Amino acid sequence: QSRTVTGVVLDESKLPLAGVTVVVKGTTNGTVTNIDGQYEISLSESDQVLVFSFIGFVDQEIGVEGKNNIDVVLKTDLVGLDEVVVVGYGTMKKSDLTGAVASVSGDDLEKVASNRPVEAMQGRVAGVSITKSSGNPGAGMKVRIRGVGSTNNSDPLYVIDGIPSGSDMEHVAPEDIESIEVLKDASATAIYGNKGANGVIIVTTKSGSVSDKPVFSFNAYYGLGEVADPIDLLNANQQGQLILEAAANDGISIPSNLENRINYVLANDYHGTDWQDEIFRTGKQQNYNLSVRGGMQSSANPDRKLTYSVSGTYYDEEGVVENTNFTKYMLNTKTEYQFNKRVQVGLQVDLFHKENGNFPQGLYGGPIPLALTTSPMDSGIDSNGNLVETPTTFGQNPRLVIDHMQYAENTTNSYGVRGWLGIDITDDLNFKTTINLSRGYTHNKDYRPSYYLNENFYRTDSELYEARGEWYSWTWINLLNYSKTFAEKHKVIATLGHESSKDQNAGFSGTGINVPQEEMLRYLNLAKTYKEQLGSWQGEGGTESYFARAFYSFEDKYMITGTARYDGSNKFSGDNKWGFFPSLGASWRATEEEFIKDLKLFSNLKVRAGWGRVGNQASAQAGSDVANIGNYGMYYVFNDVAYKGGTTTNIPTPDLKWEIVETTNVGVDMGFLNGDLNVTADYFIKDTKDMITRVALPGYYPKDRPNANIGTVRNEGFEISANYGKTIGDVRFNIGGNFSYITNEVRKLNSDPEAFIDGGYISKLGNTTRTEAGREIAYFYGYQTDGIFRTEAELAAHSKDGSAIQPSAKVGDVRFLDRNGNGVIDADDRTYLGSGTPDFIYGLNFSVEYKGFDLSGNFYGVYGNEIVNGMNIFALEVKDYRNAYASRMDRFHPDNNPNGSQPRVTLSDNNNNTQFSDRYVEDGSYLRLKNVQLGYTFPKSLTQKFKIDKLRLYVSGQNLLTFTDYSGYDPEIGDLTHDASSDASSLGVGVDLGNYPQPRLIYFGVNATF
Amino acid sequence: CGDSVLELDNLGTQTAEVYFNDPENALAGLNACYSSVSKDEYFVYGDIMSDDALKGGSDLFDWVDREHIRTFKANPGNSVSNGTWSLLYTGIVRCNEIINSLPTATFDPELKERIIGEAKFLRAYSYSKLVALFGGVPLVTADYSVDNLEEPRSSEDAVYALIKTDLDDAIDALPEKSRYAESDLGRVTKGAARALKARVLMQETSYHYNSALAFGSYPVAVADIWNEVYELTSDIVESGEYALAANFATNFEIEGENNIESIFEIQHKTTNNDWGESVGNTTVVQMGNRDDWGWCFNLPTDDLYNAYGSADPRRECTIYGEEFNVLYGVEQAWSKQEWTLSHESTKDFVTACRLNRKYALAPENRHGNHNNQPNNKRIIRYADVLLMHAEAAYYKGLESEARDYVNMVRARAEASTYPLGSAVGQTSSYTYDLYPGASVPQVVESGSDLLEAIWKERRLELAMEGIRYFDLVRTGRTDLLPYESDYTSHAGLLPIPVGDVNTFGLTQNPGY
Repeated sequence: QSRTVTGVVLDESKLPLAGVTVVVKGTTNGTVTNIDGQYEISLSESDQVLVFSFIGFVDQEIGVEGKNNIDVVLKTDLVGLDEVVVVGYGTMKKSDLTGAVASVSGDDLEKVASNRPVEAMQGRVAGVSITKSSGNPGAGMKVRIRGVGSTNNSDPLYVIDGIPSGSDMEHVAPEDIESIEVLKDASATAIYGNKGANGVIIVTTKSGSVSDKPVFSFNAYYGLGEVADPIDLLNANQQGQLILEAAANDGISIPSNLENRINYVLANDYHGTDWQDEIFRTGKQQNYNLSVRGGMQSSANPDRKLTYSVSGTYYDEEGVVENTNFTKYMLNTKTEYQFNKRVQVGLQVDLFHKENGNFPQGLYGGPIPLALTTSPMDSGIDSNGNLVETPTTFGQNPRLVIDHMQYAENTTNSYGVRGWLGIDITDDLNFKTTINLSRGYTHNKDYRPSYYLNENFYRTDSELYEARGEWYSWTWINLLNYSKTFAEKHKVIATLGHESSKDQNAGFSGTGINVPQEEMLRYLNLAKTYKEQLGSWQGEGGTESYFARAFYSFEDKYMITGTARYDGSNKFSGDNKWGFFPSLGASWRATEEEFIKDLKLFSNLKVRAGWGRVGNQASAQAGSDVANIGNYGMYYVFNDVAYKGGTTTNIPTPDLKWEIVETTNVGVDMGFLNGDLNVTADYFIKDTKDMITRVALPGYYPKDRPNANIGTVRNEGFEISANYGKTIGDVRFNIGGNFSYITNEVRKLNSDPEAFIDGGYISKLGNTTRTEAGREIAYFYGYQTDGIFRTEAELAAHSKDGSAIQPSAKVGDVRFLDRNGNGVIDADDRTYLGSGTPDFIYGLNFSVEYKGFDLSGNFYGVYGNEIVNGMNIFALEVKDYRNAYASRMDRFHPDNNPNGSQPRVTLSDNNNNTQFSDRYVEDGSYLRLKNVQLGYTFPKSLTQKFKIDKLRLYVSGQNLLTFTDYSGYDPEIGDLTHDASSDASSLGVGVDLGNYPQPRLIYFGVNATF
Repeated sequence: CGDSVLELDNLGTQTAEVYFNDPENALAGLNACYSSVSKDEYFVYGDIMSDDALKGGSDLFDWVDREHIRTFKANPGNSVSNGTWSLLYTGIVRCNEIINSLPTATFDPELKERIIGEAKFLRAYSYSKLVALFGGVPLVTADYSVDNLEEPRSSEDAVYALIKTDLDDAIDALPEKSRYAESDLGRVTKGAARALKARVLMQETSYHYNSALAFGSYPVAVADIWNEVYELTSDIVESGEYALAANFATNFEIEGENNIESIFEIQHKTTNNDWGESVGNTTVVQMGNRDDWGWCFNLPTDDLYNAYGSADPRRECTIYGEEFNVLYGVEQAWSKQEWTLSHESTKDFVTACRLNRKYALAPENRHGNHNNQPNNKRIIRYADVLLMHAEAAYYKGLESEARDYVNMVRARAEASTYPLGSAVGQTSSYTYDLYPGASVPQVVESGSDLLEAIWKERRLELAMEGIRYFDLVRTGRTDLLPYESDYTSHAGLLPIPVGDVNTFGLTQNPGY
């Protein structure tokens, strides 16, 4: 005889919980709650107890005797001990972890409107530095887990639904993410072997669950943005004054046409063009995501079920710089079918499309540096609206650069197909095989119209550059998993795996000349002629790996995990192909001991320790044992016929081997106040050995800089995060903070203790960073200054043995320190000027819920780093008639402004005031209110009339507040990547060359479920 | 599937040995060497650093690094000296790869030897510039590996020894001009290798005649050198491959490319493609008139202008300007370089606006993009060989032979005309107009006056061809340099690039 029990499951805020598993204890009979939190379950006579469980909540068991209706309120499990977290190639109970793993839930991600899921993690995970590399629409995120381990590639590995997916996850919509786990130490990452050196970010997307009706979700936001802090530049009148004064200081004359222009400007107090207004605009972002998820269960056999999830996303962004746009479309589907208790299959198909333009970077071609340096006396436009030259400043007209940006189109289309089969061979032994295929196509089109501004800036014939590329990859993973508990004390989990992957890419490019400008005619077949040269690229990569993990726990008190991975890569040759990556971790749950329990202090206390070794192959390129053949710019003529040239462009490096990262980690997890307060602290040492670095080549050996295994880097640090959450009456609040202190030190470079690598190259300024033993990677290296010479006496005093240390200096010029005291300012006087490595990073996040209202926000801060403001090469001086900062008005002048804080103005700069010195280095610390969101969820009683289960509206702000002393647009910058063509980006960390600033944004959004 | 994913081919890449073991690739490698040499803007140091020319440009700060070269005020980051260094070494490294890879190649040995010979010529050419501008430079001859990057500076004599060996090998390996196929027009020849060697040997005598360079204490056996120069130039004359063009004025026109007088010239042409495949002349725009077409760099000085008598047709063929105002039938305006007449740094050198006529382009030959112009750069002409022979003969005491050779050049000058299109309005059908009253009398001097006359003849004949600075330096006439004391305090050398000093430990030159 059976009967039925029904009920509703609610959370502490009395909101219904969907998807809660309701199982009759000791049986397989179960169901899940629907979207309204309701369930219905048939019980037999013998059934005693129902178990209600849901991830993130404490399980509840309730006796059924004599009840037909059981309503339940599940308590949030702030400790999360029974929470299951995703680890490499599997899942584990959080309480069983021995490594340093941090989790971010999809709910947290929802609190930040961003098309980049990683952005929502900013400030939420201790030890993880997350920086948006640029405000350029579609720009990526720079993620550094526990510091910069290498001068080459320090990006973490992203693992999406179990598949190692390279260094990006832009094709995953934030709304589709269930959870993100960050594996920080080697005892957690070693299972990823050759790819895990920089940490691993594991992303799990949402699946459907069995429900009586499909659940639709609609999420949308619309936001407007602007440049938060335009830079205060000289106006035309001020620039004119300074140019005249500089010419007078130098005793030289300026061209008469310029002199006439300045006199006109001064006579009319003309303020001229603020070029920033000409390139910036109000940016827009909009995002729409619609998904449907659900599942069906066979009534005859509850073990047979099908779940599905289909989600579509459209994102469109117009950047704050004119003609910078980005659009993407995503369609993600996931279907899982369980045949019976033992066999499950799944299929996941993702489609992705994106379009964006080109954003020219570099000091001489980028619109931002141009806007900051083009003279305000120039307008770049004539009375008829035609673009003309900028006669004062020798340079490209910024309006023209902006205008021509509209002709670039870059399109990427890709798809991924993933299928898997899981078989429970016995109750304890499971086999799973997964195949992932992905293929993508890129199409870049850049039309360059003909134009004429003057004899220096023109293009006689229009050009159309077009490139098409494709890539293809497959990954095959086989896993055997054994899990059993013996005598209720000894828990054993063992995993054996094999992974194999291959990727290929290829493409070609060509350029047509004299192509019509009309969009519908802008095709290569309409070119009148073509560049002779077609480009092509092609490459293949492959890896083959075997790995194993064993976990043992005794009485849930003592835990030990060991992993090993044996990894081969085609990027290396001979004996260097294979690497072995082991790890060991152990933990002790002290709260399981009676004497700790008796303290009544801890709700949780766990101590962890681990060691492991991981590899990094990302920086190496296949084929390091051979050379590339290049022919660009190498043609020559015989008998009036041009012939192609060809030469090797790099030095072969056949001995290249794995870069190794070894981490030791000690951590503690603590819970207090019945789990309301949780603290996690970790101390780690992370050593990078055999670091792969592009070594500098001398000027007398001009080729592409080759890779070599040189150097050892240590990142050592301490990180702590704390979270306090509580419900008091109708108010539920949560506040969390984290703090990471990390030191970075290059311990060895080469066998030569004097060896160093220079980087961070800025044209006309030279290298700005140096990497050498005893210092952090890429510290700033240049001259030290000591104010300015204010009197002839001060100038005369700056001498050695009667001869001037700076013979070309005049009163008002910069005083450089002759650090080695040899009587001249030379290269040996350069020294440490700070670095882009912060002393610590920190984050603070909070949320409050009251009735239907919710308020949340997060701060992110870095402290103790410096930034090289590369724009100072122009903005500190009126040289070349370029514009400068408004602060330049406070320049020294012996008569007019003897107390001026800035050096005198000069055009010839004989004293080299603008050479790379501490005048470029600024405090880069900042604290930013990254995100704040205020939402209101309408009462269900109201929305249900419209068949809407949940309706939430919100308003949100991004980058609303930034506390910093940095004078550039934005202290949050990525690594210098332009004007440094052959440098690895990590050698340019903290160098700002007029980076695209992140806008300050206001969003309005809606979340609805129906 | 273990091995299959790990043993992938390295698509699209090869080792140098494999790549160059193919005649077409070896020739492509050689093209890359020629290409480097072709980009050298030798007029910047050859003319602007001498008393023949000023930097020019739109004002003093236009390409100011060139002014700093002229005044010996360059700092070690100077883009002109660093660029020259890096460009010449680019050529050397490419030549090295050919010279080192080809001996094991298995194709046609005759072609192989010729290619190696050409590469050795081009390597020697590059080193001869480097040693003159920077002193004893790192002697890079091997293909480097990552473990072996540092190469200290060599002595000047070691650099010259390599240059001379390379040129001897080139003389042996290269065919005479007439033995090449027509499609090979423009390749270096036996005659070019002999002429370059003669030029280099004379440059080597600078360590004997120029006291500013004596710091290197590099003893030079000048008598042996003059003997060898005499022999080399005699061989060229006797080869019968070359002669003076009848009319000096035709030498620098496009019609004069690769003419009978040409011994070595950099080949250029306008192509459809402006950038990566460009084989255009990138310097002629720089020397054009800003009021007409160009950037007005490299301005002839009063001193050069006045050195020609009023009856030497070569004056108008070398200089056009306010005094001789017509270019290809078009009357020229001069407003854009007027600043040089009053500017402190230039007014002592010029009282009239002028430009280099040798590399002027007719309007119909001009291409819209500055790096895509026609007209070859004449590097070594037969007239130069005759004058080198005269100088060697003088030092051997063969004064009458010396006079004869100088007078061959002077006689040709007297028989020459105005440059093409010298009359206003002559725009579509240019002519070489006769030069009435042309008079370039034969030299009759002897003793040191004869030597002075030979030197002067070199200046008049070869002006604005990038030779004057090296002539002044090698003969020790540093008093004629515009900034002699700065020249001397820097030992006559440009700065070694700052990166190579700081990072690779090269010794910096004096005064930097």
